Amino acid sequence: MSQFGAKGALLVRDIAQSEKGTLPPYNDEVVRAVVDECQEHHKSIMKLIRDIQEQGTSLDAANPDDAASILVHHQAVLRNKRALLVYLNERMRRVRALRWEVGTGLPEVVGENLSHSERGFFTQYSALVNRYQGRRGGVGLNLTLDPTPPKDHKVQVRVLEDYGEIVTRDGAVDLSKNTVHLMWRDEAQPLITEGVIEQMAE
Amino acid sequence: MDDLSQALESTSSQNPDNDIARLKRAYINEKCAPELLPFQGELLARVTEQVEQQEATVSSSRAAAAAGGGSGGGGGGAVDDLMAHIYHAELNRVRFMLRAYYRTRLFKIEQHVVHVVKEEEVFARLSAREQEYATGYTNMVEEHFGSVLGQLPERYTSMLQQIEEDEGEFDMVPEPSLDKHVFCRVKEDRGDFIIDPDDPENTFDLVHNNIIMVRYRFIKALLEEDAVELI
Repeated sequence: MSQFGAKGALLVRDIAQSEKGTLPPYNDEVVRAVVDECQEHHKSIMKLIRDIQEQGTSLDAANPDDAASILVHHQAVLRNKRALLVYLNERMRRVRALRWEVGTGLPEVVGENLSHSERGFFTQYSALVNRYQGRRGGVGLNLTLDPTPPKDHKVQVRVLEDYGEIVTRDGAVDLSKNTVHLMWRDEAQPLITEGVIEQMAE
Repeated sequence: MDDLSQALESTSSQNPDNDIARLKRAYINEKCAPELLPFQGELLARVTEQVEQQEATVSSSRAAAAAGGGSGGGGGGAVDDLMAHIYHAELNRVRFMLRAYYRTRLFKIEQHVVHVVKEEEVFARLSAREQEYATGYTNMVEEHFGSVLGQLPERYTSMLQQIEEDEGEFDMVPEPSLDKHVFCRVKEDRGDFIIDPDDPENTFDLVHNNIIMVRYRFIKALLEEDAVELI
């Protein structure tokens, strides 16, 4: 009896104790265990109902012990369902946040921790956002730029790793490690997010 | 120099009648309100057009200056550079507000997407593209949750009802809380105003420029009439 909901609690603790913004590996094992537990409860409920019907009494007039058992199993399923959804929902939120922080390319390291369905979600969500942002049928503005109000329209950046040459509004810029450049904000921002360059403190 | 101060005056966000100031207010209102406000389609269309025009002017004058010979008159060149700098700064700020406005609304939609799609009145406050976005997002969420929920015993698989019943309510759909407290500034004199419809004797004198903190639910109507703004 005390085991009802224990696995569900495990799932919730798993995601609640992880650091916000990270994604621990998808706990397929426990999720499956919780789902199986629900099926077990359901079987118990159906058996209890059958027993009552065999005895010839209607469900409403059933023995209060049996009625209580059915109710407990039912509530246990609901509790497990809730735990599952908490787990899925919180992970889904973090996957979604990835699109806004990292962009359309999902880093391998993170991708390994996602379930198949979550990876599918990321791809679909990326496409949804791209469609909304795009020029055709969308608003025509890259919404991931400018998370904070801009102060200067040019930023001084230092290159962190060899990236090669890029073409900017002012011409070609050679991004080799440890060089310093003055770039337009909107061109520098995606590279800053990717980690190729960093903004220099003033 | 007169041109400069004139140009700045007309685009200054201190000037309450211009579109950029309205955009700023729309953005701040949207950020503070717990629910989605009606989409300011016309305002955004006007501002977007102005931004594009402004950009075209600035880059064509830059190109002209560059083509006209790099050593163009010293004094004139410096002022042009300063103007370009100022225009760019302004453009960046306006673009930031546009982006932030769209973003804030998208986040709000995602937070309560099933509620947004189900309630006609809320759905009507979205732009056409946002409506597409909302329905798309709902489908994705349903599919993703469905991959696990689908394995639960029958009648427990819905993500809208805890247990599927014909007459049951959709008890799993969260709604935004309209009882959240907000700060607002009063924009017009309204005299004695009944804040809480359940408590008609408790009136409050709404005077221009007063700042009050109150539950969103009570000033919702005033916000729609533009008699208050959220801060």
